Amino acid sequence: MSCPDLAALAAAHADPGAHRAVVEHVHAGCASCAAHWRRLDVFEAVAALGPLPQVPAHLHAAALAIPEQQTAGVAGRLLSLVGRLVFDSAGGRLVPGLRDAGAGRRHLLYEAGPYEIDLALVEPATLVGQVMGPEDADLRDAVVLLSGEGRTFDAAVLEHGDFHLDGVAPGRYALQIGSDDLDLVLPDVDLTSPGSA
Amino acid sequence: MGDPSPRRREDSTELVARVRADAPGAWARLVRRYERLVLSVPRGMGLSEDDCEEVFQATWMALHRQIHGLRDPGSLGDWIITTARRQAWKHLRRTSLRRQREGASLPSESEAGEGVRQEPASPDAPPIDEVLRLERRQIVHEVLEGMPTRCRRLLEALYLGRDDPSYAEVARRLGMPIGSLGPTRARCLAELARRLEEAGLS
Repeated sequence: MSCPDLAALAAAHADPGAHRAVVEHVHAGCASCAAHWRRLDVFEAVAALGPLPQVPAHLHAAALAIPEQQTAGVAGRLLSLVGRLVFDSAGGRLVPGLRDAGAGRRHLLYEAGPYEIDLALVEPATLVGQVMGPEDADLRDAVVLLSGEGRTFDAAVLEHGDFHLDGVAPGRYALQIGSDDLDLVLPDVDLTSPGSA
Repeated sequence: MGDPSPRRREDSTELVARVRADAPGAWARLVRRYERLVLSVPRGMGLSEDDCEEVFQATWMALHRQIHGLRDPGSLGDWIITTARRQAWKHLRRTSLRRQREGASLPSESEAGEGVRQEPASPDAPPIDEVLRLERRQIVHEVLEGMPTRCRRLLEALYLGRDDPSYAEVARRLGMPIGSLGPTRARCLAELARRLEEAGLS
């Protein structure tokens, strides 16, 4: 048979026993009808999961209010800062006061507002770092996430802002240091050349 | 970019562009369209209601902060799923670290509530199957919400209801002749299939 109209196809999907000729047509290999049939399969599968969760009114209102709050500078206490690279041992001399990463290490220093993030890629595959901020900066509970090259690593920020991540292969990564009230983002950390210092 | 035509549902690329341009109502439309998807992610990971609320708000704040930098606004659903999942993971991780630091023993599963995961899930990108499932669910619900009221109500009654109503019950609820339900369902499913195709569901 030739392709049925879409309503006939839908009727067959809803009641295959009553529309065997259409079902046979679909299963005989008609790509167009089979694609519509699959979409109706997906609809039924999604419907079987039930409706998506209803969002409580107070949460809906909170989400709606975010632009105004952020404009007014009262968006909770979250401070989000994007860091910029201020030193790379692969391309320059150490700046005064910076910890020496040692031979065979790649050393990077970022600034994000009043924060400094100091990174060193230690061969073979360990990234050690330290985040330093204002005296009143509270980095307790902060978590470091390093994402890239198809993997994600995580570590807790220790006392004095230190952290280290093992198993980090050379590559390009995004690093995020987050706590309840702080989000430091280094969107492009170049670790392609360990030990080039 | 002006307001969306009432006859055509704006896609996520257009919607993001309007939010970036601070168009009136654009952020509210974005929230309405995706809020249920956002909430479904931490719920699907088994977080408590309080934790789900925190993840929900953190995800919207992240989207608002980063909306100007989104590389592919056409994949906003995917971005939201991944971000909500990471927010959920970060939340669990911080809670876990705080408990470790305070030396508190983790409550048993029964104390924490059924299905609540105590250890952080992996923050890696969610499995493709999960993203596909959530994306498809979002697309189907978006398309369904954009259907003509009569069709939407009929399909919801027949397919999404918690009960399994008879044709007679559905006809009564919707005020339709019982003999018209079958043909109307076929027409509505056909329209749904057309719209799912337009929405990119393969």
